[in-house]
Amino acid sequence: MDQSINKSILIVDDNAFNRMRLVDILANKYDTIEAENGVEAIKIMGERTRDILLVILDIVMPEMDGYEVLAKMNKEGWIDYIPVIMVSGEDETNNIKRAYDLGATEFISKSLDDEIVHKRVANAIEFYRKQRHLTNMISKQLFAREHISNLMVNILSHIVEFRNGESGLHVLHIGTITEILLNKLMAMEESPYELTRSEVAMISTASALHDIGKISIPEEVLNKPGRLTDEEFEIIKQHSAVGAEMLADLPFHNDEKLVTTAHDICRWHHERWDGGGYPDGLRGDEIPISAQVVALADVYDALTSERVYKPAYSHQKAVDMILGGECGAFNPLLLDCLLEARDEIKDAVNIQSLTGVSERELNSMAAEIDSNEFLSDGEKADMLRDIWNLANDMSY
Amino acid sequence: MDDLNVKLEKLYKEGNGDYSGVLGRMRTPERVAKFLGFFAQDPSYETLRASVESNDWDNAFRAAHTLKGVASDMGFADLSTAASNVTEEFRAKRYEEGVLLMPLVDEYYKLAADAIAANL
Repeated sequence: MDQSINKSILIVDDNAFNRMRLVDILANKYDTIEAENGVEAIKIMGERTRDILLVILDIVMPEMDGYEVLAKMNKEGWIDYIPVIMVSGEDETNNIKRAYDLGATEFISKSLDDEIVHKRVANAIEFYRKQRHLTNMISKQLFAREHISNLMVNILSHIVEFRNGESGLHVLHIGTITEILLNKLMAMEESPYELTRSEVAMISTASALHDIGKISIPEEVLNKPGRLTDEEFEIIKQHSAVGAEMLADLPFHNDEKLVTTAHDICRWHHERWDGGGYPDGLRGDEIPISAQVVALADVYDALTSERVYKPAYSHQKAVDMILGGECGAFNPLLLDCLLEARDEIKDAVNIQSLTGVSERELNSMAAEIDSNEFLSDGEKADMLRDIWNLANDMSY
Repeated sequence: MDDLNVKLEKLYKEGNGDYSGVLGRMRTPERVAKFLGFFAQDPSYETLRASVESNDWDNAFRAAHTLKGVASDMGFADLSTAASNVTEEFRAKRYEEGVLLMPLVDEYYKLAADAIAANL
């Protein structure tokens, strides 16, 4: 889509002759809007920001001069995506420098050469258009990459869950609950854990792999409806270590953060805060926080879902049982998080669907864009808007 | 078309301006003629005169500044320089000195305005 259709060049000059000269030069190729002074120009830019292709700005004007207009454009962030060409009789070096410092794209003097004006305008517009095109391309790439990688992880884990006879929602729930708990944890003042937004997103993604070790468990044991014998229970317990081993054994990528995080979660999501868990009997914060949170999410989801060996309990009952110490031992800080987040968790789990783009994916992309050093604020805002639009197009 | 060209050459000679420069920038005689018309109607000179008379120095400064740009754009370099000199005096708040330079502006402006009136 050519975004310059329906956009106009804003010509700002207090003198009618000058405005007319510029309109005359540009009219054969562009639509133009005129403003008589800085105040009018700012008003127009505020009301029609996205309609402005480029601004041609005089310096000496009553009420608000060209420099003040530039300063305002900086303040509002418009300067990031609207090129400005200063036209002035003020062609002393200091004035030119001052204009450039304030973000002017170009500076031309008042003896207007029609062809040169055309070329400068076209170049400025093209430069900004290309920038926008590139940031849009990047947004699309980010979006596709994020979406596909999450899709792959989800497919993989659904395959694993398939043998257990569990619905695909279990994996999604774990991810959602994990993310909510982690965000609550990061928001707590007394939290000693420092995780970035993208680390939180990654742990939530990796949580989908927590039970891949179950592939190695024979089906009769996995899906036995009655009580398990001690032997059978020992077999089931293997799934943590086996899953971790599979990840550690990857012939490639086994030092990638996603893989090492998934490894930790796999191996230790059945450890207990009091050291009574398996396979390694880790205690307290020896257990990586990723595994601690997934462990809690796993128990919570198991309690609130139907299983071959039990019906689904209510959310309230699940929280009570966990806080009462009936379902394992957990980090007190995490239990506080669970308490605070329980309504959020209940809602999130209820509306979970298998279509569209998750909030986690959006947050992960937003974090990546935000952390980029080279993008201007305006460009970041544009890209976030791109991604939002892509996500909305996807939801049905 | 050639007719117009000849007319404009005469105009610029009488008005103390540089026709070839303006034509080079505006490309066609029609354009030059069109904007000469607008130049003649531009209020900057009148505003300058009136502002000086009433000691309205802010407006005088802006009018002089605008006249400088417009004159330069239309190829009347001497007028532009004269207006520029007045502009700088007013910018530096040297109002008396600026007023002393006004006769030159009057003179060059009259040349240009008369030439336009006579030939277009």
